[in-house]
Order: sequence, then C-alpha cells, then structure tokens
Amino acid sequence: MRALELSGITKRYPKVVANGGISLAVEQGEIHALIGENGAGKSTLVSILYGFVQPDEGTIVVGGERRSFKDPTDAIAAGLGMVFQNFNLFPELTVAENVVFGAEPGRLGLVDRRAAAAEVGDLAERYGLQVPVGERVEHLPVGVLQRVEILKSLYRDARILILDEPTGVLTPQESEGLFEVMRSLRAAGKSIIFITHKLDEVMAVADRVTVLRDGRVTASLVTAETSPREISRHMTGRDVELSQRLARSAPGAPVLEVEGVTVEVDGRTAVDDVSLSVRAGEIVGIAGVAGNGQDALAAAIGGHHPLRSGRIRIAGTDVDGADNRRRRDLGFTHIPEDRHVTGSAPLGDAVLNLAVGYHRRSPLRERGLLQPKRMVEHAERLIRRFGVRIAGPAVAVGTLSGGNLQKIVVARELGHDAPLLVAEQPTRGVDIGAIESIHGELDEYRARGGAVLLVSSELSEVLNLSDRIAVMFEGRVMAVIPSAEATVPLLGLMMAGVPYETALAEEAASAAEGGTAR
Amino acid sequence: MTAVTTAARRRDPAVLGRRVLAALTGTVTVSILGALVAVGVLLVAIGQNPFAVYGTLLEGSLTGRGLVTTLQRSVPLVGLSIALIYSFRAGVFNLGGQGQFLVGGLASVVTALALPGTGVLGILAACAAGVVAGAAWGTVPGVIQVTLGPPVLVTSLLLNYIGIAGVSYVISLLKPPSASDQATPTISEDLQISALVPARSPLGEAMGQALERNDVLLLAARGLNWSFVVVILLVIATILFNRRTATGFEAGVTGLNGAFARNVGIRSSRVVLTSLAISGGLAGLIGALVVLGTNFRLLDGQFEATGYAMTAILVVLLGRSSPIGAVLAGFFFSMLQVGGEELNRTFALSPAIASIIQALVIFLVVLRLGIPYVTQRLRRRAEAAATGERIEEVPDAAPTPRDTTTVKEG
Ligand SMILES: Nc1ncnc2c1ncn2[C@@H]1O[C@H](COP(=O)(O)OP(=O)(O)OP(=O)(O)O)[C@@H](O)[C@H]1O
Ligand SMILES: [Mg+2]
Repeated sequence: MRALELSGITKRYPKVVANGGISLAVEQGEIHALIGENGAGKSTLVSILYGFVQPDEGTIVVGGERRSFKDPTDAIAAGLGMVFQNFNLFPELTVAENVVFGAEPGRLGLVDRRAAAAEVGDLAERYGLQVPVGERVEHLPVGVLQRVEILKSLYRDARILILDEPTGVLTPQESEGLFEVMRSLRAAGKSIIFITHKLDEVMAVADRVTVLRDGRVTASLVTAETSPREISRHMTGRDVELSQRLARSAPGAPVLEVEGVTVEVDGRTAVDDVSLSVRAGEIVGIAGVAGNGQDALAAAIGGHHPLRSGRIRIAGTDVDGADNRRRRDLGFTHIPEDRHVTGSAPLGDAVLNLAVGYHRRSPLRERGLLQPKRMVEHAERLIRRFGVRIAGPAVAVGTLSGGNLQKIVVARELGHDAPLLVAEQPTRGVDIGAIESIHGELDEYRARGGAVLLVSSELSEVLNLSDRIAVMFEGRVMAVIPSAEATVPLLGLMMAGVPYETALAEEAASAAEGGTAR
Repeated sequence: MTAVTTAARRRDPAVLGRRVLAALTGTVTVSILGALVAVGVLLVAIGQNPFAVYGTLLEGSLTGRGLVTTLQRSVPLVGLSIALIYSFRAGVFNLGGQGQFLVGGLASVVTALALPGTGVLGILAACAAGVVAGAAWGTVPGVIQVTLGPPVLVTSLLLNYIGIAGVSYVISLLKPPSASDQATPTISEDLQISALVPARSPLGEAMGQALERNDVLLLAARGLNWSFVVVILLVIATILFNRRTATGFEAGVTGLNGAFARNVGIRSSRVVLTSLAISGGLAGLIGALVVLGTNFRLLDGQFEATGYAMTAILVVLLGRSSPIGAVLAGFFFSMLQVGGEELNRTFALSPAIASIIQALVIFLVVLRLGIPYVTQRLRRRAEAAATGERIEEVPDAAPTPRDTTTVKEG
C-alpha cells in the first residue's frame, strides 16, 4: 500500500530553485532513502512534507488522501513525524515526561505520571527502542536522545517518520543501533524517509533510494538492484574519484603541546590529565564517543576554558591566560563543532563570514582601513576554492544548506594557512564529493607543514587522515598509537574504556579466531 | 535589526533594485501610509479636510522658516540616534542615552562657566568635557556587565534616574541665588556656538543684501548653527567606521552572533566597553552642542522634556541601526513635530496630532514586525503542544544564535 505520494513539488527561492518538480512515492513498511549533494533540496523537500515550508506547486497525498499542511501540527495530525538533528528536549525532565509532553495522559488537566511512564515503556518495548524511561535526559548520550525523539513521534501515532541526517551525530555503534530500530519499525508497518550522505548506510538499511540533484529527481532505485557507484553517479553526474593522499614527509617541530591538562566543566572533570602533541606536518586524530571530553579539550586549547592544571603551548609559547585572539595570533585556527552557534553569523553574508579573522591584516586592511572590494574578492576566492554552492557572496549564510554552511566554516579556517588547526567534525553533514575535497585540503595543508588536531566521531575519517590516533574515554587519553597500527576493533575497544594492552590482547585473540576487520 | 551591508551587496544592480522595491513595500513605508490614513479618517470625523491638513503639515515643516526649524530639531535627534547606533549595532542594548546626554550637557556648561572666554578653543574644551563625561557615564553599565554580570539593558536604564537626580542637584548648587529658574547661569556669549553665518558678520551682511528676507538660504545660514555641520560629519564618520574600520566590523559581527565572535578572536568585552564609550561620548557631545548652541544654560528638566533621548531609541529601531536610516527617521519625526505646531497655528488643531501620527507609525511598525513574530510563536507553541518540543523564548530585540526562525537547519 502506498503510504505517501508527492508529485511535482516545487519551491523557488530568490536565485535558487530548491525543489524543481519533485515526485516521490513511499510504500507502507518501506525505508526510503533520500540522497544528494549539499544543496540538492533534501531538507527543503522534507520541510515541505512536514508543513514547515509551503510549496509553490505540487501535491501531497498521504494514505490515499490529498493533503496540504499549513504547519507541522497539520502534518502530525496526518500521521507524520520528524526527527531533527538538533534535539528539542527538556534536560530536567525524564524520558517519559519528554515523550508525553503536550499530549499527557491524565484527567482534569492533571498529568498521570505513572500512566505516562508505563505507556512510554510499552511503546519503547514494542519497537525495540531501549531507553531508560524514568531517567532525566540531561546526561544521556545523543544516540539515546534520538530514540527519545523517535518515541515522541511514535507516541503521537506517526505512521511516516522523517529522519534528516540522523547519523550525522552518531557513533558507528549508535548508527547500527538506529538501523535496528528502523528495521523493527518497518516490520511494524511504519514508513521511514531517511536522509543521509553515506552510501553504505543507504545500502545497509534502505529498500529504495531516491537521488536528488539540483532540486530534481535523477533516479529512484531499488537498493538491492543497484550499487554505491551507480547511486553516486546519479548524484554527481560523474564518477567520484578518490584522491590520492600526498606523500608524507617527516613531521617537524611540535606546534601544539598539551601537558597534563585537566579541565572542569560545571563541576565535572571533563578532561583528565591529558597529554599529547601535534607536530608540524602531522595530523593527530582523536577517536572517541562524543561526550568523552573532546569538546572540552578543544575549548581549552582555544582559550575558552580555564585549565585546572597542566599547560598548553602553541608554536612553543605557553598560552596560559592568553585569550582566543592571542592564540590565533600565535597561529591557532579552529573549525568548531557547531556551525550555527559558534561557526558562523547566520544573518551575516558570506563576505562577512569569510572575512572575519582576516580583517586586521593586509590585504583586507590597508593603512588602517578595511578594503570592501578585496573582502568581496577574498570571499569569492574561498567560495570557488571550496566549491560552496551559493548564489553570490552577498547571500546570508543562514539560508545555505547545512553542508554548504559547513564548507564556509572550513574555508575560512583553512584559508588562513596558519601553523595549527583544531578541526572538530570537519565534514559533518557534507556530501561525499565535498568530504573528498575537504580531506584533500587537509592533506595538502599537512603537506605544507600544517599541524592538525582532528576530532571526529567518524572512525573512517580518523583512520583515513591521521598519522597518529589518540583514543579518549571519560576525559582521559587511553593511548596514542600510530595509525598504521590502528584497526576499527582495537579503537572500538579502547573507546569503550578497555585499556590499550588488554584491547591489543583481545584483538589479537579474535584475529586469531577469524579474519581481521580493518 | 542590524544592518549588514557590504560592497558586494551595494555593487549588484539587481540587489539595489530589490532593495528599492523592498523599501517601498517595506514595513516602514506601509506603516507611515497606514498612520496617515488612520489619522485622515480621524480628521474627517472631526470635520477637517485631511488633504488640507496634511498639505499644511508638509508646507509648515518643509518650506521656508519651517524647514530650517525642522533641520534644527533634527540635529540633536539624529545626533543622539547616531550615538546609540554604536551600541545597538554591537548588540549592546544601551538605554542610557538620556543620562549620557544630560551628563554631557552638564559637564560642558560647568566647563564653559569655569573657563575664561576663549572663543573656539573654549568651545572645543567644553565639548571635550561633554564627550569625556558622557563616555565615562556610558561605560559604567558596560563595566558592570563585564565584571559582575547584570546586563547593560537594565543598568543603563536605571542609571538614567541617578543621572537626572544628580544633575538636578548640581544645578541647584550652581544656580545664582537671585535667579528664579532652577538653572545654571548663562554661559558667556564668547563660548556660544554661532550660527553658520552670523547676521552681523561681513558675509552675513552681504547675504542679507543679496538675498530676499525669506530666502531659505538666508534663513538656514542664520538659523542653523555649527552643530548642524558637526552632526553631518558624525553621520559620515559613522558610516566609515562601520564599513571601513576593524573595530566597526568587529562590533557588527558581535551584534550578529556573540558566541561566533568570541570564537574567531574578537574580544567581546572590549567590544562592549568600546561601543558604550563611543555611544556615551557622542551622546555627551550632543548634550554639549545643545547647551552651547541652543540653550546657553542648563535648565532643570529641560533635556528630559524634549524627549530627544527616548525618541532616539525609536529612531534607531525604525532606521534599523543604520546611520542613513537614522537620518531619514530622525528628519521625519522632527518634520512631524514642526508641522504639528504649524497645524496648531493654522487650523487651531492640537499639535498632539503630530504625536499621534508619530506614535501610530511606531505602533504599526512594531505591529508589522510583531505580527509574523507572534503568529510564529503561536505556531511554535501549538506545534510544541503537538510534538512536545521545547519552545525557546527568543526576545525579539535580541536575536540569539539559537534563533532558528531565520536560520535553517541543514
Ligand atoms: N530559506 C531559504 N532561503 C533561501 N534559499 C534557501 C532557503 N532554504 C533553502 N534554500 C536553498 O535551497 C537549496 C536546497 O537547500 P536544502 O537545505 O534543501 O539542501 P539539502 O539537500 O538539504 O543540502 P545538505 O545536504 O547540505 O543539507 C540550497 O541552495 C539552499 O541555499
Ligand atoms: Mg539538509
């Protein structure tokens, strides 16, 4: 049975056609992947479906009935549910309370907490979603928060679930858990629209895949009958070539030195006696499940958190007490994790967003005056070099698609060619082609003698780029190993808190039993 | 609210065209027309011909002596608005213009009274005193915010009351015992800012002979003083500051997203302090200009009575923190006031008509800006009820980085 049918959906923005007549059918009990390059129109399409954005043209048919959604309330009433990347949960409420919020069971305006907990528990069990029903959501990991969000939709009887890049914030294990949940939902007859940039995920979990390019459907394929190569050809119109990594030269002097650093955040020890160094011409990757102190470490290096103890040196200078500006003057650059909150000024245009940090020096400033024309040229240059899809440099970056905003942030920081780059999740949300080009840029940067501290929840990224890998668990560095010696299972064990020697022994034992996984 | 203009945006003719169109159909234009229509209906109801009334209003404020009066009134209003732009644009909600204006005026009058008459140098010294006093006064809320935490929005407003009371007290000390007014003595003529072309100067006399008595040029030359030029220079300097200096650029970035600014090496506490110092300093300068050029003494309560400082906040909001916007909005408000007085003379209508129009324009602008905001809030609320999402309360005046209403998620 057909759960959903979209036809001829069109949405035009000034200078861009985000959706140009998109048609799409989703069957009941189907996992339908939506894939396409950054700016292809995926988020716009699902926003239209969920009533956030009004289409210029096109029709929506849900369960055989023609619908038009003024706002998400209408969409929810029609049986749609959406899980965003940024979760909207009350940290101080329990899982059950969050799930029922706004639709609480009870009488006379009183919430029946016990009934709520029981109902949510039942619901979670029915679909195999493991959540601690009675726990406050405050300190739960993202993977669990996402399940809470899914439960919220299910609690409101969603029959069609929309997941916009749900795996972007998950660890591989968590993603695997999500796929299990998706499969059990499918078995229960739910339909799922699943947006991702990762072809292996499409192949692993989706029944069908619709490929978008420039706001149009270029293919709609059954995953069992296609290949990643074919999908990516439909996405880009060409074969994505994997670029060759440049030859590595011997690393030079240490650019970043972290010695015995301990950081407290909100009274909890977030970074615990961490020591590591990154030398010129070297990429050191930090592997770890999100929330194990990586962000606090990056913030401490950036000068945003005072150290409880220890010292940090940038290019040989102790930066104790130095603020972010001073550290940047010493050669520190930073791709922060959150592109909206700390990585950009969404209401500002690309010229402003790309000029920041360059505006105190020649050529953007000459004889004390900013040079507006050069600022525009500077922006145009970076936009071209990093392939940002934007109508022009005067466009407010908040209107860009997620991946393209990410490219703006990466372009600004890499453009400095400073000695040190701390890169947190540099390719989060960007498409395969762009991942390739950002990886290529990082590689070249290293070849030119740059030092990179790479924080990524993407193990493949860490393995692919790093010379050495540090594994973080509960604020501590478990071990720093050359990437040649690192394997996914070894890193996985250490990320779960298994000490290096034990992990090595365990891995050797399991390798002896069967084939190694690398 | 914050204007982000870049060369790219200005260069592109299509963008320019769209901006003209946007201005014509924009909130402000529509609100002004709406206010005029509403008041027009009111006028018909009381038996007046609205066209005649509006005609007189325009004529009374935009021709001859009226025009000169309008320009003269624009001087303090636009000047104070420019002062406020320095903080608003940086995301610092400085509501302390009143106190800064007043304290600057007091400092200049005290300096002028203490100085022996030394002409231009003395005027400069008195102005400098106004700047320094205003800057010091204006920076206090910033220091409090940076060191202790309470926001400028609150402390700057509260400081106004302290300023008003303090200035009152100082005036009572300076007041000559014989005088009947609660006012400082009058400053010596030598320290008064002169008209652009004083009537008694050789050029003034030549102009008087060459031009008709009611020639606007003559009226302007005699009726406007040099503060007019100072404010024009201030407007130009502000445009340059915003577009061409690193400090102005950093202030703009901070106003757009403070967390981002801190992350790219902008020292945000320094931005707060600098913008408040400039704001306060300029407000103090305007206080000095009003004392030295118009009032020649400080009469207790006179500055507050003009309402310039509070109206300036509205001018900045209406002009969206842009200097040109402040010039236009400031001129428009002055024009309404002057035209309103003319209506009083011609039609015996209350000059309050002008205030009504002014209030309606503001009201409609807020309404028009507010309606989408409120409906959106309601929608979010309904949706939150439906999905259990948390509503993040976002104050309209201060878009926070989390304000996803204008920002899309990827
Ligand atoms: N509110 C808006 N104003 C202007 N342009 C917009 C707006 N929303 C989307 N666009 C444009 O529409 C196009 C499609 O954007 P969309 O967010 O749907 O892409 P996407 O496929 O989700 O990309 P990504 O993979 O990067 O998330 C982009 O070019 C984007 O800049
Ligand atoms: Mg998207």
